[in-house]
Amino acid sequence: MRFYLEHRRALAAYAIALTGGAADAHDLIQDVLLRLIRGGAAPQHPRAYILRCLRTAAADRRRVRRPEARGDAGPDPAFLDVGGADAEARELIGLLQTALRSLPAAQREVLVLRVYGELTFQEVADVLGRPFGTIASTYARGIEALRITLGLEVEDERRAH
Amino acid sequence: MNAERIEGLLRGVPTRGLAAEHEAALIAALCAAAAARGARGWRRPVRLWTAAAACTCVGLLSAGLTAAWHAGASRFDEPFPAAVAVRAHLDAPLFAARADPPVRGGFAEWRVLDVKPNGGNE
Repeated sequence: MRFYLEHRRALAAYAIALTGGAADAHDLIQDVLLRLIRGGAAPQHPRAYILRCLRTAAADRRRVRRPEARGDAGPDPAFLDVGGADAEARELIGLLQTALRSLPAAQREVLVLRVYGELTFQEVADVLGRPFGTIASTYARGIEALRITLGLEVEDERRAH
Repeated sequence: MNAERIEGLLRGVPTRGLAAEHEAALIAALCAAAAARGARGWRRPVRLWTAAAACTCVGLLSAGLTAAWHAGASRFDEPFPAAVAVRAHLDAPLFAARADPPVRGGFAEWRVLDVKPNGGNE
């Protein structure tokens, strides 16, 4: 309970990224946390463990709903909130969403877990079941790709003015 | 635009949370499940009202009751002595309108409070 209250922002952001909507995210979080409470799980790194459970549960749901679908499209940046933002901020958030969507799924997943899941590289590696070095280099490539994409956007804006 | 600036940009963007009704229902379900397992700090077995109490203060009783029921709470007949109440201190209009007393100011956090049998806070 207290865990949820302390980490609700990261859990909600990641669950929305995995499911694409707040209602499905709620179902996902509730299913996972109830299962953990009932099972009496006491993981050493609870946030990473629960994010991994969310990821696995979301993949299971996708398989049940769309068994013909292959592969994982990766988390969607729909969790970035444009609701209360002014026009300028909305434009920036839109640029970031587009730039994140343009990344390969693996890079996007590492970036989302690291930045919005607030995990260390080691924890991201544990969540995704990949080596630490792979995660660090994937993250660096993702940041570099965003830098290039957003840099181009900035240049485009300058030219337009 | 360097890497640190990109990271700063990403971290600075607000993220969506769960809808207020969903969050209230979730909290009620977690309360019920934790109580059912005899979580530390819970002095009684789970009671439906215990978990539902999580939502009464924000006027979301039906969501709380439903979630608590599904989470395993089983009795209606116990008031919630020594229960856990979740007070919403949210500045969202939904909470501001429904909370009793109305929420002023507004730091967006849930708080978990132990309450005594007479309803007073510990």
